[in-house]
Amino acid sequence: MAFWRRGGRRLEAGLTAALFVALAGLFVLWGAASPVGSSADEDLHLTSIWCAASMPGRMCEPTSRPPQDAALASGRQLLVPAVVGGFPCYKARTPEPPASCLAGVGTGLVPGRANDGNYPGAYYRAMHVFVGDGRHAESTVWWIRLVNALLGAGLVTAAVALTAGGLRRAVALGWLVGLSPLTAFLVPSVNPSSWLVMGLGTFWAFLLRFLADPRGRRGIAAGVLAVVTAVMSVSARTEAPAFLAAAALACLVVAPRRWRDLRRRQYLACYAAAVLVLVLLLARYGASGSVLRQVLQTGVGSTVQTRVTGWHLLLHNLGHVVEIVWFGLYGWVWGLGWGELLLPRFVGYFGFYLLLASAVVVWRSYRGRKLAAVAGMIVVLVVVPLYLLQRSHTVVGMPSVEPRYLLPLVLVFLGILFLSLDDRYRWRLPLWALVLGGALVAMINAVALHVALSRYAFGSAGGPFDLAGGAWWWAHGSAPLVWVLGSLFGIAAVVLLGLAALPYDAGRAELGRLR
Amino acid sequence: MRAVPSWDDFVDWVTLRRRPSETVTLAVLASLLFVAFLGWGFSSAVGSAPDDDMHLTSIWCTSPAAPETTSATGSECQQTTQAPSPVIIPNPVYVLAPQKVGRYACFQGPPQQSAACTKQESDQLVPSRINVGQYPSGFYRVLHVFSSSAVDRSVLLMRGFNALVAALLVTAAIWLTSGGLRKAVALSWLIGLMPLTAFLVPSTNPSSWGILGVGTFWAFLLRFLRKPDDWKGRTAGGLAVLTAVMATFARPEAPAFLGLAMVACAVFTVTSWRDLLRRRYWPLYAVAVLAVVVFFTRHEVTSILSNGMGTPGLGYYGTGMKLFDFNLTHMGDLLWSGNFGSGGDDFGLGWGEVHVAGIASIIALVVLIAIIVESHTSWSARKAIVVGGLVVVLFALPLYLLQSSASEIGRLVVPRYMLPVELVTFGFITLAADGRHRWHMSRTLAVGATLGVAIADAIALHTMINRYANGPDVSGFDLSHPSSWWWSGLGGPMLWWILGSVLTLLAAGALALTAFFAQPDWDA
Repeated sequence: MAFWRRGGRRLEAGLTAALFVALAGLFVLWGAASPVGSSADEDLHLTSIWCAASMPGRMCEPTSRPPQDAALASGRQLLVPAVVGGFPCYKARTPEPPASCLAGVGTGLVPGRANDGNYPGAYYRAMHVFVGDGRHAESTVWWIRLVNALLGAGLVTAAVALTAGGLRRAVALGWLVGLSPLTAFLVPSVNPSSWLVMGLGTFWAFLLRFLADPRGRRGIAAGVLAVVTAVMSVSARTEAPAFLAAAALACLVVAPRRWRDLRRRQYLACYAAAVLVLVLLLARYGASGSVLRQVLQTGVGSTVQTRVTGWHLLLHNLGHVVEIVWFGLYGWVWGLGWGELLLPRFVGYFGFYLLLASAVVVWRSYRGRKLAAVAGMIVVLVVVPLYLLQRSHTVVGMPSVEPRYLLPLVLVFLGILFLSLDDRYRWRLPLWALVLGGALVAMINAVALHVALSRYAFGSAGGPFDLAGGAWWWAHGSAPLVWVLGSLFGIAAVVLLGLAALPYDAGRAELGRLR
Repeated sequence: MRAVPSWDDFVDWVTLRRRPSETVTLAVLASLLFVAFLGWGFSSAVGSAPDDDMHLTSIWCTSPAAPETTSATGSECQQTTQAPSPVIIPNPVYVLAPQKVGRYACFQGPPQQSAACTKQESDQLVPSRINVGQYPSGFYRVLHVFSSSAVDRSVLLMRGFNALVAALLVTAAIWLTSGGLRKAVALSWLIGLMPLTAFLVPSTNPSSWGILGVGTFWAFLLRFLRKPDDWKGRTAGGLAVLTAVMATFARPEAPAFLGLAMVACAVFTVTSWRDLLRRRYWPLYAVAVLAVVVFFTRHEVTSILSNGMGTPGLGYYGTGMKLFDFNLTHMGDLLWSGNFGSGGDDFGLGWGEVHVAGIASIIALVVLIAIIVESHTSWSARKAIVVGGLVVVLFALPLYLLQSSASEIGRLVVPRYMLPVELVTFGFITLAADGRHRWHMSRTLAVGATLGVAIADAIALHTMINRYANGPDVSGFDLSHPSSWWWSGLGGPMLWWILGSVLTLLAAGALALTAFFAQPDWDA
């Protein structure tokens, strides 16, 4: 099915544009599906964005007033608008109320906790451009989400467009299967995880494309975008360098076809870039370096701990780690939003079937270096959360290691899983499997979007199927419209990603074949 | 081949090196099925199947006699205004029936106890529930022939009759078909030889004919549609009508399931649009229209479809997504584990109180998966559509009923309702739509499937006999201590368990061998 090739350049350009529109629409609508302050620790991120540069008046002045919620009393406290700092009003108690309470939030300034070194500040500085005079929180948040949605759509489309053959199929399928509710919620959000997810999720593709062939416009573009996504990731969260190193290592394991490839120009450029980045990190982000060391020693800070220790704790968590790594993407254990938005359990089961099917459909390519890379990613995905849980003295389910921390690595894992770079790693994608998998992803997206909208419209207690009677938190549009459009764009995105995955010529699985 | 098979012949057959003659196969199959079902039928007490008090009363008293008339045996079957005490399940009408026939099973209590209490029952007339339109009356009228004042003997005769009919119909379905279709029929009944099937088919419950009727109807119809011109095809057509009538006589939702099977068979055999107008499909259309009309004019059906099934559930999960999520994630209990008596507190054999260890359903599930994996070359677009449609109905119908009644799984929809459709689904899963998609069943699979089914059934049979012989509180391997067998002079519980298990093993083996030898390339 050389669908794309037969149509020529114009068809390919048209389909690329369509893919961008579909993904952009999907992410924008997910961004609209929750009110201001909905993602985890959003008060911290919003305050940090507000105060990334000096603001007029009393805004962003340090204050010794205690915040309304004792749980948020850590770190620097700065004065910010009430809708920015503190827990959102719709998370005040259990069961959580609907977002209609936002209308009653005052216009005064309250203490909000700001980044105290736990995050690199560059992301906040970048997003600060949308703050303006700081008094229009809804508009600011909307612009930030819009920009992140378009960025995410753009990066994924670029990754699909710049690649060819087996690598393009891996990018398309990796993002198709990886389009979990958590991905769709995080990418168009204010949370720095947005940049880490879209950055790392496409970095591996750009790097592989660059390593395959650095010549020509596409090769250079891939190299530039690899650097851009790496910078984006590093500016967002402190563990980004470690994740980037893992992804780069996986790429270096699968990319070369012969040992002497490792001495090629593009590889040498990689090594030089890695050394440079290391030096820069150690010099510039000395504070972040110590944050990483602190995390490695005492784990992720948690408000609750368990009395179980040692081997019992390790074994228990080992049995449950898949809940964080995979089921967590589908709203089990630790839901969307601030963690309170749990999705129905059948969504998680369907997500698990997707993972199983993905692992099975590529079975022919489990050999050599690809097997090593896949196994290595699995080890990383298991060891990292286990280590952090053990150090933090917590079990799976406690607020310590959360699924969104591992999502970037999961996206890289999926990409490597679907990879087939040359004849040795060939695997055939049956059309019916693609259709079934795509249908499942589209269905999960529709269900998750409805549950999310319902939670904010009616509160955690749930409401009727018709979303029209509940709260709405933007000035325009409505919840049912967002749901219908979001589901339709989800279907479109699935179809277009599926089309991008199809034209894999099984005879010549060469990487980087330029058009 | 010699007229009298020798020991060598027998060894060759058992080790699957020589195909036995057709007549021998069918005769052996029919006999083994009959005695296996008989074994199951004798392994539970009178009144053990769900709502048996109502069914037995309806069999004995084919209609509530008016208060003024007296039946031949005195005031039996007269309508009464008295209600049973205590009223476990209410009914609009009560009639007087012998205690052994019409009382709510004494071993259900409350409290539950062993079936030894049935020995103390007498011929005293008590108020009993009777069918006043909840079920069609055909099943009751036919079995009424065997009713007499010796209740135990009559019930055994009825169960034996149902066992015989089942054995004959399944064998007929296998006899009239050949090749891949015969393999599918045999395998569908092999997989379908689940404890619930083996318990219900030789029983006095209308589900017996419901399961048997729909479970063989699809085979006869498919055989007829594929080649209606030869005498086997015409016989198959006639038997399709017979089994359809049987099912309609027994369960009110049978026309819907028969219609579903008709659609599945038609989609499986049609080759072009013009094909649909051929004469062989006309009787199908006529019957389908009739079935639809009959089905939807029944008051219970229209009310269930619009209002749900009556008393709503416990309400733990509300009425929306949480309820749907709970029901969807527990469909496995309803559609699979429940057929083995597992699946939590809600499902079980007997009246739902005989809970079998989950290992039985897991063993059988492995068998099913093995068959599906081994038949992977048989899938085509047509087959995917038919099987997909059947699976969708298997899931959607109970989900719809439960959601519209705001009820959780376990309360209103029980496994035996969907069992007929499951048998049809098993059949189509193992069937290829055309010669290009043949699949080969290996010897290993034949042996493994037999053993798996036999072990699962043996576990369930043991649990069931134990419950009736020793009561629900006693567990342990030996069924004889302490025991209280309810048939007098027919051997003890341990004997019946061993006999039943061995016969089930042999019947499963016969079905597997039939399927194996139906393949043209059986020695490949």
